[in-house]
Amino acid sequence: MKTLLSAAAAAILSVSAAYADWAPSGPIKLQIGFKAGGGADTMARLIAEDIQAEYGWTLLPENVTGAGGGVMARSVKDSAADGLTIGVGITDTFAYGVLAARDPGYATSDFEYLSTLAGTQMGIVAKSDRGWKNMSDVIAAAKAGEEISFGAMTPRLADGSYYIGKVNGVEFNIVSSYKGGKAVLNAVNASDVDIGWVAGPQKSGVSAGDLLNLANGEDKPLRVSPDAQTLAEIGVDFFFGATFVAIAPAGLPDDARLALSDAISTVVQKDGTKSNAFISKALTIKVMTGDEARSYVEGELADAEALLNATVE
Amino acid sequence: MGGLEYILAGVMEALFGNPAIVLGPIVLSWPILLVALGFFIGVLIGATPGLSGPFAMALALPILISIFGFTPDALLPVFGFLVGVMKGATVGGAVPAILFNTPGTPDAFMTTLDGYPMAKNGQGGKALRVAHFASVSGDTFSDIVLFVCAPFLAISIEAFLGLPEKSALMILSLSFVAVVVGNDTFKGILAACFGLLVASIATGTDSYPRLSMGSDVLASGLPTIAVVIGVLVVGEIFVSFEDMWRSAREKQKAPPKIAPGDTSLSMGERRKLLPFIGVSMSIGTVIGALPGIGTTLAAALGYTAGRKMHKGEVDFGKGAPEGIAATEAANSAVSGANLIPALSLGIPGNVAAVFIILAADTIGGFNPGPSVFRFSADEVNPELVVAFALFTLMVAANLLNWTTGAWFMRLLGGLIHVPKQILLPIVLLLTLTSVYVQGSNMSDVYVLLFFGALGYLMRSTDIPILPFVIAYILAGPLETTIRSAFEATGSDPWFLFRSPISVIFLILATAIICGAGWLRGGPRLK
Repeated sequence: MKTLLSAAAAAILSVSAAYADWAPSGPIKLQIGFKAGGGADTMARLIAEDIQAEYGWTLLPENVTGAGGGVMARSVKDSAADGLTIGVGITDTFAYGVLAARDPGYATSDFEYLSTLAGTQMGIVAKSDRGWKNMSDVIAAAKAGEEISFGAMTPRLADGSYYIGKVNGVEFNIVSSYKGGKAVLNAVNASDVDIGWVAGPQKSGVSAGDLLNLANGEDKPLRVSPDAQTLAEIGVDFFFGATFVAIAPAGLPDDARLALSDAISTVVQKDGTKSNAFISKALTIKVMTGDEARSYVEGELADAEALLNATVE
Repeated sequence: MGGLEYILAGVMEALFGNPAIVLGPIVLSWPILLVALGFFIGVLIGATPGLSGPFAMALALPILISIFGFTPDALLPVFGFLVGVMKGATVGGAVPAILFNTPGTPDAFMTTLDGYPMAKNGQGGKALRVAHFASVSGDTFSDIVLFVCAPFLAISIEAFLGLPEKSALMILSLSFVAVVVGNDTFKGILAACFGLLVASIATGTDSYPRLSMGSDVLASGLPTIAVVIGVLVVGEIFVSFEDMWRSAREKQKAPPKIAPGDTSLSMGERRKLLPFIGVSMSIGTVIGALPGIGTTLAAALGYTAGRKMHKGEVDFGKGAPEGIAATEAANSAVSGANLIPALSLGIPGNVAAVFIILAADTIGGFNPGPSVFRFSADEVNPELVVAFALFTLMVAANLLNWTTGAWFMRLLGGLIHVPKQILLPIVLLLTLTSVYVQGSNMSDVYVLLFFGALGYLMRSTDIPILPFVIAYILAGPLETTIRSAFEATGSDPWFLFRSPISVIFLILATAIICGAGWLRGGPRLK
């Protein structure tokens, strides 16, 4: 991965002459597809601050929420492709969201994917005093007749919960109206739900032994519990981690696209910037730019289609 | 972290967390600075007839949020200001009630009954002192009850109530608010239902934003601050404009100004007031802990209880200091206790709590509700630290009130004669500006004006505003809880009726609505 990154960096540097002169002709609108004050919003605002500090460009963050990032996506799509409007969302919006929404009003190909930013630490979490060690235990309990409620914060995760049950011949009571992993975590702690998807805030509870990652939703081992059961072990071939991504309207001139992409990926990866510190603490750094970012989103789109097909009755 | 460490962390956070001025060892933090600012503005606003605490909160909230930003660091300064205004306005309302026979805030009406006669007898200064002493005592007592009760209530709710019971409890609170506020049960319920309807625009779990009719302005949801300020404050301003227009021809006579006169209040006199203050502040605290019932009823009940107890030489209504004490202790004791349901359940009981929840929702990082009071030992629960820091700020505001409140009240006596026709247009303009500044979006201003017009219509048809606002704020949590309860029980349609506790809550809710006529039999003053 490291070599890949440095190769990408080298590739960007080699063309730097072409866009080194590009600078925004005015303030850049940064449309954030999340509610003000949450972790994702904080991350986006810190990236804006870092770019301002490193490059001297003015960024105006603005929260454009609704429809799981869809309102932000539509707004960015309809903006002029001049580099003065960019958006921050999750890849879900451009993959699963396009397929699952009735009338999303945008398509995956309507955007330039400037750079992915960060990845989550998605796990299925339960309180340790429930006595389960992994998802197989939970499935066994459900088979023995226990009703298990399963908290999820996005439709994709709710589908994932359903699919896990389907593959293993059990039915969970899926509670899907939580806004953000923190809310699911609170519900698990308050015993409102038995198990739930949490994307990172479970870290300290797991380290202290109060909580347990029953299964790993990511394609890489979780940092806090590297030995957590993989989804493949319970017959599920999908991953459920979320990836944050910066986007711009399609048709952005190459020099602007490369300059923006370079600015964003640089501040996120540079040691000592605010966004770097924040992401390293709460999430994981996950930077891909250019074609790599696009094919990542397209890969998720294919996965989402497979997941939707697999959950259709 | 243990309980004590949390309290200590909260105190430290409030006092030193966000330093504004550092002079050697002396640190003055932004939260404390804003408590002081809020308190003095609150006294001033409370003392100005025609303005009230919510005006200052509405004006300041968007501005403060745009100054301090959306980081958790912004929470305490903003809370500090709101707490300061809340306390300042309560004590300030007594000034014009006593000196000019015009209550600055509606709940100070009962204060005029004895305050103005005292002022006419040359005891205006003494009356102010009595009002201040009673008000601060009541306020402090109520805060102590809040500090003790809120965590215990929250912990027991978290331990004993599941999702269906929580849903039933919210339905009960909402029914209570709808019935108790205003004079007509049907109109109260209408207002609450309308609040729920407005809140359901572009919310919910479907990926298509519901009720948005294809508009991207609606699809991102209505700006909450603009809606609440529109209905609460702009609507009130419109009503005042209408009043002014109607009474324009009546020559307004400036009330005669009375010299403060005797301003002393001896320890012996204070001791004689204590029984009245004690009874009234208990009444006020109980009333305050119930969502929706305001300071006005508390003041009336306190005054009535005081009159029954009173055996002194001067009758109530003819200038008895006990009358002022009984009123002011009761209406001030409401403000702290009002935050009990807000902090432990996330259910706002009055306008100040609405603004605190609004600030918390907008800034983020603090979600009033049972999960705030989780004393987790292994990791720091930052919300709990914020809660204790908020309590610290309330204590700071009380200290400020004890030390400077009386002096400030006397000082204001001469300052508050700005005519409404100058004041209100300024307030309106500032409100429009501050809402625009916060969202930097013209559509926020249109929403504000639309809901201002709505608030005006509701007021002129006697539909109470508070149930609308509380339902609007509570709608999101209510829907989420009900939906989750339904899902967690495996889509059981009878989930609300499966546990005895939730059945009891629902029966109570029905009983309150059906028994509303009987509830209204009690003392009620507008």
